Amino acid sequence: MINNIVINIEGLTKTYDKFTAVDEISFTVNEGEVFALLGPNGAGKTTTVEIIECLKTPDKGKVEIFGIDLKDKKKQNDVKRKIGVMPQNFNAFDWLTVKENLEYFKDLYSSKISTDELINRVGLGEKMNSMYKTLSGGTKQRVGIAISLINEPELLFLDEPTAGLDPQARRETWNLIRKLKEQGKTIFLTTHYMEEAQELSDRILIIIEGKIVAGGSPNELIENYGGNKSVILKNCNKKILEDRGIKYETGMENQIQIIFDNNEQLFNILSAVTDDPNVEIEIKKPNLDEAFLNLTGRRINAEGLAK
Amino acid sequence: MRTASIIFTVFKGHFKAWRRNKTTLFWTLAFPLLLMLLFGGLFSLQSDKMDLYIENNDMNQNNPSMASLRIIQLINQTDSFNIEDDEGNLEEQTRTIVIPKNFESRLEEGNSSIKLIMDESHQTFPRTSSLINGVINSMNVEKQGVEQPIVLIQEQISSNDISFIEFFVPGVVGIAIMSTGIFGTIGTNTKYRKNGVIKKLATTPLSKFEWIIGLVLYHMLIGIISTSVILIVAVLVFDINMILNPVIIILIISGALTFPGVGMIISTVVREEEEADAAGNVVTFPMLFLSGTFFPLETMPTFIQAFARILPLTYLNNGLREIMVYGNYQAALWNCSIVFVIGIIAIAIAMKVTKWTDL
Repeated sequence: MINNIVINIEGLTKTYDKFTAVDEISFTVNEGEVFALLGPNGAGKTTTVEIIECLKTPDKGKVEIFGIDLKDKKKQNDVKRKIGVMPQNFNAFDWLTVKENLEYFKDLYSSKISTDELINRVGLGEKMNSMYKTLSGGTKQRVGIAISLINEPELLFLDEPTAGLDPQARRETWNLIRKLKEQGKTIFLTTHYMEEAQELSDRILIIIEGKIVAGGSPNELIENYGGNKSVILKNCNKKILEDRGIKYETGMENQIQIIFDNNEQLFNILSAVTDDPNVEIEIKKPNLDEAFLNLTGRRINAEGLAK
Repeated sequence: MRTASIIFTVFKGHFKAWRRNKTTLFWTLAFPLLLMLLFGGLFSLQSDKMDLYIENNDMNQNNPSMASLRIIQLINQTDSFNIEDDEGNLEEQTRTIVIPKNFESRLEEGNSSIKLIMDESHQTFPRTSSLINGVINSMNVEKQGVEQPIVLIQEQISSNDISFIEFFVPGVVGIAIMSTGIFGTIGTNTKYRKNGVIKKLATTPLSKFEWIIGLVLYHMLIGIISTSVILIVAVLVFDINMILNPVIIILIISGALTFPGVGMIISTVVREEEEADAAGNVVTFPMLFLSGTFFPLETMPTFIQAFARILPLTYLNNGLREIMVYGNYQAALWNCSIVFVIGIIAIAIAMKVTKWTDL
């Protein structure tokens, strides 16, 4: 199957005075995929996405959306009609209802979409006539996503769509994004949440200090950079392991960690300890967080800061 | 057609938000009204008596006749006038009564008159005329048996004398247009920038031009609504006469170009929502006190008068006063054209400096 490229970025650079926010990055986004730009705050995610959304002018490089070069300012309106954007920290008009907010943006696009149908599609039916300012954070994000769908875009940009939301609201937003993917939308996601990128994305690009450090599917990133799988054993007699020639490391509180590469090795370890009812077994698989740590030497905390 | 429809969408959105937000309703409608009622009330309490100049020509060996003294006494008994001696300068005298020579002798013949010299368009004319007629009727009753009563002859003069409230009401309208335009625009732009609304709008086909024009049209409507409310309350509470004319609408339109334009320019340097009010005050405070809202410019020191001449609110206030109080179209239109030109320049600068991208 040939993938249609909807975004093509080559050598994109953006500087503010002497600070380089985005440094010669190149990538493509294919039609129908959820593509995540992952990185801590200040990595250059929002600058990159805002250049693609026609909100910022790049200093260098090529940006093509649906084959349209954004250098041609006259054609930017054509691009704007095909994309839906939910900016970072977006809040709609406080004193308009959910429906009125949607009608407002519908009129800007001269869109023919049924707002009632869209409201129901994103699960806002009960809140249709509620004033925007009275909504919870999660519901406001839903309204933001609904507004970004008002022109029935082919490509959707969601900039930190779950930042500041509680876990339940975050899950609800993820489900909505999954539904949109099922409907065939191409989604460009920027996030600093590892779990979010891993859960939702087909492909992830990790960006640090304006530079791309790695890219691939979540599994590829974990496979290539996440490190080894391991078994953690507690209350285990080390002699049993030594008798079978299993190499191990001893950690805190007499914990034993055994690294393995394949199922045969895992079976060998488990069969060695299954006879002892006192042994506690935990199988540890690497995740995106570990991959990020191995790639950058840093972890991203809940606020999006790399430490 | 599409542009008009988009501008209407922006306008409608602002208007709906305005009528639902109690805070903005207070600052656009209630605050100017409170200001007017407070200051208007305070200054109106000073004296509710009207100055009346009396030119008594019915003298007998330098002594006023008994009949003329009687009519002055009756006027005094109305307790509505501060009686002053005629100064001979009718232009500075709002209302003057002339008692003619031989008033007393003609009264006996049933052929007497007194003259009221006053501007019939003056707000106090109906009351003055009615009181003087009442005095004449009383005198006529006293002179029963005489065939012809005393006749009141009215003589028209034009007068520039206005009360404080008449002076103040156009200033209140000016303040309402200025503060709504400046505070409203700075507040809206700063908040919308913080909330990502401006960014979101910039990703739609809406242009910066359409957004700004929608905002200006909204301020025009708010200006018309607040002016109407202020005038209705002023007439009902203070019983004043204001000349209503389409020139007022042109002045409001010019003000609604100028002050939102100024607000948009200031918005470009205000980054935080918390700074918005402070920035608005820096600009509105000098205009509030130095643009002839509370006191005539002529009563201020020369250097302040010179400063006031560069403030747009001075011309808006002057224009509103010229048309609403004096009915002077030419002067109103001249002031209006100055406000309009400042407005066009302000909007042009706002269009240039307002950032739609690269925020």
